[in-house]
Amino acid sequence: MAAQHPTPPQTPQPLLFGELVMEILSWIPAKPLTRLKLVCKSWNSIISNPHFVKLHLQRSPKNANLLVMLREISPEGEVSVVLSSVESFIRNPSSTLTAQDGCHSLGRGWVLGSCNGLVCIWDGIEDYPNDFEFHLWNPLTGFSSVKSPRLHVNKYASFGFGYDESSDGYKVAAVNLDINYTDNSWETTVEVYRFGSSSWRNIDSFPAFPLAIEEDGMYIGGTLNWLGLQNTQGGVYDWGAVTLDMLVIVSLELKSETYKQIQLPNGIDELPSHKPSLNVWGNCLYLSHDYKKTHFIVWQMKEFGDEISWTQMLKISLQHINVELLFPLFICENGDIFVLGASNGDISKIVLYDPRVNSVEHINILDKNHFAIINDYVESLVQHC
Amino acid sequence: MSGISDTERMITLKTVEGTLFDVKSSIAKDLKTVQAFIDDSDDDVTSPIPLPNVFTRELSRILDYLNNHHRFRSGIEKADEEMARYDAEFAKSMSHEELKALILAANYLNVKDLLEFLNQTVADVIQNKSVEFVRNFFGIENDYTPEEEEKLRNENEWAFNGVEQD
Repeated sequence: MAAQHPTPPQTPQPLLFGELVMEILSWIPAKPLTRLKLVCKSWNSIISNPHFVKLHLQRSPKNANLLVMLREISPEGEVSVVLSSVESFIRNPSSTLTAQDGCHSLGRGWVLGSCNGLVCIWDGIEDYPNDFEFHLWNPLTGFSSVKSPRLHVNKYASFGFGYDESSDGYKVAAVNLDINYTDNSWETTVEVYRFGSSSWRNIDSFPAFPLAIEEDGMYIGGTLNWLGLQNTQGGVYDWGAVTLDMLVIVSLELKSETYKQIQLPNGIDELPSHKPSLNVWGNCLYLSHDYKKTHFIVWQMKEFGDEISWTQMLKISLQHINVELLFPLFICENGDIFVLGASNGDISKIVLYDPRVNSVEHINILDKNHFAIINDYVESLVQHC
Repeated sequence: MSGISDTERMITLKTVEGTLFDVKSSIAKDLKTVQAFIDDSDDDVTSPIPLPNVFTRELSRILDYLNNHHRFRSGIEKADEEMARYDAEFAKSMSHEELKALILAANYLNVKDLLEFLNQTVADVIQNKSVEFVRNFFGIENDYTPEEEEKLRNENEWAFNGVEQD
């Protein structure tokens, strides 16, 4: 018996679907989702709603995209930003790093970092070399926030950008280093700005000597992280006077605006010949350093905050891959591929290393004129202030 | 001690057309609406539970999905691949009308995992279609004036870059 099934009742479909629409839409990537604002006014409302935007952000694939900041190596260096999926970057780093399409020019701005699809940009101010302004930008939608109040810094300052979930706030921290050359003493002032508030606020000074003052603070798990030196005996450091036990990671919690210290991996048994480098990719913290000038080592903190979870991900002989210097450009979250720069800062030589098969691929990028910094990025419709 | 363990108990469900389905209580747990009904009843539920909003075609599909997923989860390691293949086939086997009807049934019966899977499937179907297609799919009337539509399109120009007009 071939039963013909009666069709479901003829209640108007939109009513039946009700809040299922929101659920369905939350799975759609940002660009096609935005086109669907044109379906009807109620869909426009849903898609523009901040609560929906948050749900949509939660559903976005994690660690699938990245943002490359390219800066010309010159005093007046122009900065541009390229967005890419991790997958296409790994497949062809050269094409991402030299992209003309989809490249956003930032003039003299600088990307401080990215959270929830928002990118924090800092700009210098004409005629005021020690003054800066910050704003948030969503490269997908073009949204640009109101600028922060001006910040005046000393010669040595480091910034960090991050998201504080507890207050749904986006914050910039500025670590100022003041050095007194007469008696070789130093002190720090740290200021924090939350986008949407009216001013920068002082918080406790940095609990160590900010070794990484030339680098940005690294954002992970609601904290900003810098390499620091403790027990410097008051003097300004010179790398020759540093001992291994002085090295520490200072972690600023954005929620409480207080500091914690994170120890370096136990497995580091001698002081590297250069300052190690701290980075975050795929929402993992990495520490990389040279070893006896012959090897390059990368550690990953598998569980952020748990010092026992430091794991050596890579130890590679410089000679084996025929380079003199290595620095990390990007690391895939499962440690499958390491993208390493092999010359002094510029991106002209890249090495792709796959530890699973011990394969080394040298890529020459015909561009000695830029250096690149790569950040995690997620596509979102988030706007803030 | 005698006593039928939970997993062996059978629940009977009755669809709109009056078809009866015997369902293991371990599967019925995934039909949260049904489970709530069972929990709320003081005595053991012996007579068929009527489902006034659910048709035979939909219930049959839902039970098929749940039975298979239970099988995949309780078994061997290869299950992930098999499950993914099953899910893909399951999604493909339905017309858009059937997909919509199934979502509504899964929503009514509160079958969380299946509902999420179906929502993602519909999201995949509509995401690169024209606005007109999506309106038809959901039976939605366009309530924009041509001027409003134009304005909205301009404001969101970035999203239309490289995409053909409807």
